[in-house]
Amino acid sequence: MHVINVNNLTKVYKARKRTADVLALNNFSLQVEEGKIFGLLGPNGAGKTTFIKILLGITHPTSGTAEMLGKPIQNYTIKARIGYLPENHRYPGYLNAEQILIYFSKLSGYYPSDLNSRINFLLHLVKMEKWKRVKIKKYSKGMMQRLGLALSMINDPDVIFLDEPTDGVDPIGRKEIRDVLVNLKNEGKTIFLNSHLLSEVELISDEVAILHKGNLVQRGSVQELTTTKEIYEITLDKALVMESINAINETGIIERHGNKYTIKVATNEELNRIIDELRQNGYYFQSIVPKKHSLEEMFINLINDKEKNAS
Amino acid sequence: MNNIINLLKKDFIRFIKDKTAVLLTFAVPAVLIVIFGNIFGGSGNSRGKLPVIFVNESNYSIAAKVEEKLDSSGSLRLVREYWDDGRDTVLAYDTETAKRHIKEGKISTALVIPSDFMSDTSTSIKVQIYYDPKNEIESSIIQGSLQQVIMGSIPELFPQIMNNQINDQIGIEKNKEFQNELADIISETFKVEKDLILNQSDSVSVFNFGSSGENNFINDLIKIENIQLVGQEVKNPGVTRIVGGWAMMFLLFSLTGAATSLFEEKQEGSLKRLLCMPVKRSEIIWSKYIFSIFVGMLQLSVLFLFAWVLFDVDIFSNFLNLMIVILVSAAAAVSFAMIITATTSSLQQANGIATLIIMVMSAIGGSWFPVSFLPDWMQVISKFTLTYWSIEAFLQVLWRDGDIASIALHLGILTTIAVVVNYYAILLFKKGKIF
Repeated sequence: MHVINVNNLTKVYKARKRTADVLALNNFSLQVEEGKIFGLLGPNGAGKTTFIKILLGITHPTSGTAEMLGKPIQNYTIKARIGYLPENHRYPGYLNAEQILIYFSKLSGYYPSDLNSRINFLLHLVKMEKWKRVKIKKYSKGMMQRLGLALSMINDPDVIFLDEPTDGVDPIGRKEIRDVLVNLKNEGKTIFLNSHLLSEVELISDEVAILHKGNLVQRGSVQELTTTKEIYEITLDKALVMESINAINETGIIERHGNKYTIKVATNEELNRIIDELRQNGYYFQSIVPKKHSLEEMFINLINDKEKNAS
Repeated sequence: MNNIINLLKKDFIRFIKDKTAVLLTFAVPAVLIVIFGNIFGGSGNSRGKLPVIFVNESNYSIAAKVEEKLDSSGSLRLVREYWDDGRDTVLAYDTETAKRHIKEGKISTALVIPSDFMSDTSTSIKVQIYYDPKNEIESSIIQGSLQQVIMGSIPELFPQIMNNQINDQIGIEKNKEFQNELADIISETFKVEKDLILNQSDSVSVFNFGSSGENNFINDLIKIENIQLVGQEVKNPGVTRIVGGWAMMFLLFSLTGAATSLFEEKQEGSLKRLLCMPVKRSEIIWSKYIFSIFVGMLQLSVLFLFAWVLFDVDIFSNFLNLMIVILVSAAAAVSFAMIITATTSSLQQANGIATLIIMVMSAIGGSWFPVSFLPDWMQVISKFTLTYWSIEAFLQVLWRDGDIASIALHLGILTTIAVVVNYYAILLFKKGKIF
């Protein structure tokens, strides 16, 4: 089942002069399956926040359709099944965590008889139980993020939108938040992640989409996007005598560390030819693995390519 | 030195870019100078003439002369006619209708020249001024102007009145004897024919006014009867007059603050948070509206309670009607604050524009001085401000002890402002400018 189903979504921010209009989303279509952690990436101004704002009803699309949990986003009642952690969120400093959680629970129409227990559970989950009755004005940025995460879960939502969830959180805290998200996913929740920390996204996302200037430019699983089909890392039993291997000389070695080599090939046939030639020359393969980019490398290369093509 | 120049440049750029600061620095004072200049300007022509009902029941020619002089007065506008209740016939004012209209608050002063204004045997002339001192300054100005016109522009009245007074006090024969003896002396001394002296119509001009006894002397000649028709029982007239006006001005400021808190909520992200909850935008707006009305009612109630505790302003004898006016005024003021919030794009912009409009509305709506002080064209504009209708309604309730019928028009206009302006504000909100 598609928890999020968006078709040809376009958003234009009108300016006084028509030439100054901003096209934030351009015929953007996206489907997100239930029970996945989905990462939305893109440089600043790519349209990520606009997309989340449209889904959450904060702003309206210029054209196109969007559904969440099988209902049009115009149906505001679906928000009762959605959690949201906004970026740079703030709450009145004179309230405490418990009061904020109770307020938003009621506002989202969530009135369990054991609300108190749920509040205690969530605060324990985000390691904030000791701060339950401390005024928010005394919280650090990392604590605010933890409270925000608890708030996004207070109504036991089916879909959770997280905008920079680990912003301002120390490395240990980030690990804890990642664990919380993975647990939520295991409970069948869908998590929509918007973050600039690509290493975080890479670690926990099942699927990733990349937006650039309002257009979807790449989409797939993290595995698919970070694996390159042209570059392989081979480890041999001994160092190569280069002159004897024609195929490798033609292709070229990108890197070498002892008897470990990184090679670039254009096709599978070329890779097999190299393997055959090396084996015929008495080399044994200890391993051959496709070289993986980090998500960040892939993202930077992709965006740079797009910028070059555009110019 | 370079550092100072660069820092100055920074400050100038910041100031110019801050449109609110520019607005408050130049536009607000400029507008207020225009308003005050028109009221207290040197020429006196720009200020509106104060309306006074004029009823002339005397057939005496001097009465017509008084009317003529009053007509040419620069500060008064004589109102002689009124529309009947069906508004299809224009009727001339009589004394009873004039008194009724003053009691109803339609106008504050009437000058009546009664049928016994003067006779051949009168020792003084008599005029009546009926008034409602709801605006103390206005009342003083009108009465002062009336007295000035009457006393200063008809010296030809004096000889006859004075002669009548002398006849009355020493008898006609003794008076004649005195005048004959006086004529003999003057004739002998200045070599003038006696008949000429006796026939001088302005012989009494020998009385040179300007001595310390002038006021009593003139007051004996002209009997101005001031009759207060409204507000005699008001315990503290001064505070009762102004409390509504000042309360409205501060209400507008505080409610603008309450409504524009939407911008603060937007800045701190809590508005975005609310929009992600299963609540409608209209519910967010309506809750803000109801909250602001509540704050407005509370503020007005507290202000009136203060006026009662500290200044003995009677707020309880007409309490229900006062609360109705408070409710409707608060609703209208909130709609003003909501439209400001809906049409502006930031807190700073909203505060700047609101300050400008509130100051103007307070100045021309009657918060600071009576509307009748304004030039005629400003008086027309003042009727388009909610301040004017609220202040009038408060005066009607507190000053005149008016019933619900007497404030029906005020309530109707304020309610219309509240509904229409707020409806438009909600339409704008739905288009999502603030969201």
